Amino acid sequence: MRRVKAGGPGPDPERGTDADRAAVAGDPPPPASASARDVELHERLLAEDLRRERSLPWLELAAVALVAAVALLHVLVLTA
Amino acid sequence: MWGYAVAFVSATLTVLALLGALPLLAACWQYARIGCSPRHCHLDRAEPYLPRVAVLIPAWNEGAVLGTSVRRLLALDYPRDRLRVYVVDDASTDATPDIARELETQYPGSVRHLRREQGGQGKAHTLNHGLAVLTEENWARAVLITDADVIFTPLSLRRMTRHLADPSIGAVTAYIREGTRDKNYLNRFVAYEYATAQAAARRSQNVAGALACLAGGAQLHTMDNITALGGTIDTSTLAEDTITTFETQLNGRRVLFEGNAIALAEEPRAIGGLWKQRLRWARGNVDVTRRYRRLWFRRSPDHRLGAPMFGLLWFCLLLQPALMIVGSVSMVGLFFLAPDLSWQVFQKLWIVNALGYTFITAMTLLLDRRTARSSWRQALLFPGLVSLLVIVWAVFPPVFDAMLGEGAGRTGGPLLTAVVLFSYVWLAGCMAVAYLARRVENTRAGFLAPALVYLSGYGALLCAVTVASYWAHLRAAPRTWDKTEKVGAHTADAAGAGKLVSA
Repeated sequence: MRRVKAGGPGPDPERGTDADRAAVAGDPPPPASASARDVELHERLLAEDLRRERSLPWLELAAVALVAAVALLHVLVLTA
Repeated sequence: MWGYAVAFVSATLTVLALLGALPLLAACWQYARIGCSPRHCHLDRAEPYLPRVAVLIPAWNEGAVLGTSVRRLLALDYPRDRLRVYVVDDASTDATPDIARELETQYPGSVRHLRREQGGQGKAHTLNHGLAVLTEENWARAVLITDADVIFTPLSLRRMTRHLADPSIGAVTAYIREGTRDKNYLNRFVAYEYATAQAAARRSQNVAGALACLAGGAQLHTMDNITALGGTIDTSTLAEDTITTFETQLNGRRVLFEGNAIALAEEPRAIGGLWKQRLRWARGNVDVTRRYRRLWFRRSPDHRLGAPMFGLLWFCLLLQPALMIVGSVSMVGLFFLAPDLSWQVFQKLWIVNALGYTFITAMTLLLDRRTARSSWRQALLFPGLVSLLVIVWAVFPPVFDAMLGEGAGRTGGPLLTAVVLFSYVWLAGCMAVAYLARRVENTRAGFLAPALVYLSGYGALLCAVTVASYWAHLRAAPRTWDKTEKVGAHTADAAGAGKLVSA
């Protein structure tokens, strides 16, 4: 399980913590952690997006192969 | 002596003509880096971080689109108690205030209507009105700046906020896809353009560590970043998005493109509307170029905006029309000076064009298959039908030689001479034809406009807009905020687009 953050990267010494600011704004303090559903959804999206990003080098390889094919065709046409 | 002079001039013209390939080579270099995206997309540092987000919607006469956009925002898969929408009504004279008030009543605590009584100063002023309220309220930890016509896919905000857990990230931008329901030819060109300029180019900019521009309709900032920017958006140019992007990075914060977060926007259906929008962007780019003149090509330990390749890409985009004109004139000069050399140069130039075009088109279509399905014809015809024929001629000369009844030598009869000269002139002439498409659009010959765009190419149309921006700059035309009209022609398939897909 990944580390859960819901309150931000950390309190800003000049602006106070999330809870401080929530109190000023008259809102209930923020939850201490994301819900189990949030974490689960995060993991699912992350896996999906990482898979997509990791496919990019292969897409690039396919595009390069197409370029090579065009170049080869050019040479073949000229030498025919 | 005369021989030396001819040789010198020929060599100079050759170099100038070959410079025309520079923008394409730079674009290829940019595309070549997309493969490195997995290591630079920041997903390894993403967290389930769900801060309180204030969505800021500047709205000037957005009655046709506002209701749908706000309801979609409130339907996002994001904790409702951490999401507020602020409609900053810029003295609208249509139904916008009524709709905003109705939304405020319908979603108490989630929607706020902020009214500017003195409006029409532009988006940046309107945003600043909203930012002042947000700063005073001190509720939000992040601000999503968007446009009234943008529809976010259900999981897009989560995909953006997950990066903000890292304090080094100042802002995240989403991939804005053309989202018009019944796309016409121009919408399809824009859809493909956005796939190249965002899904592809911005991924590459993630790799380079320097982003040129946050999408104006989908930029999520940390409140700390907004505070570091002085709590306001720059109002001195027409490129407030780019200025914000640059300033964020100059302040030492990273700006990230999240290509998996998708938003849909309605784009112009007519050349006139597109021209107005792009002229504003192009003029903004000229302003940015001048404003950061001490930044280009100067490396800094604090940011990557001064990296040579970043500068090269920026200036290639800005100077592409000038390079096309110089290339065209050089080729014509070379034709009269050294016809055989001119053909050799021309052929090499277009072989490079052909290979670059193949690489970029293939990569873009593979990268965004949803856009590929709807806009593959526009992708293939992006350089224009005439340029496509020239590419085929240069790469496979026998195809045309058979038709023209000539051999490989380019010193044939009058027909071949005319065709060769035409193709040299076309390097720049395509922009004139694209401009003609704009001129005829609202006349009786308006039916010719799409044909002229297909002939000249959508790329030529964009270059013609850039030339218009040079001209506007030279004659110091006033920088007016010509808003793009939106009519609410969004796709209703935002949920489907969110599932998408290959990016």
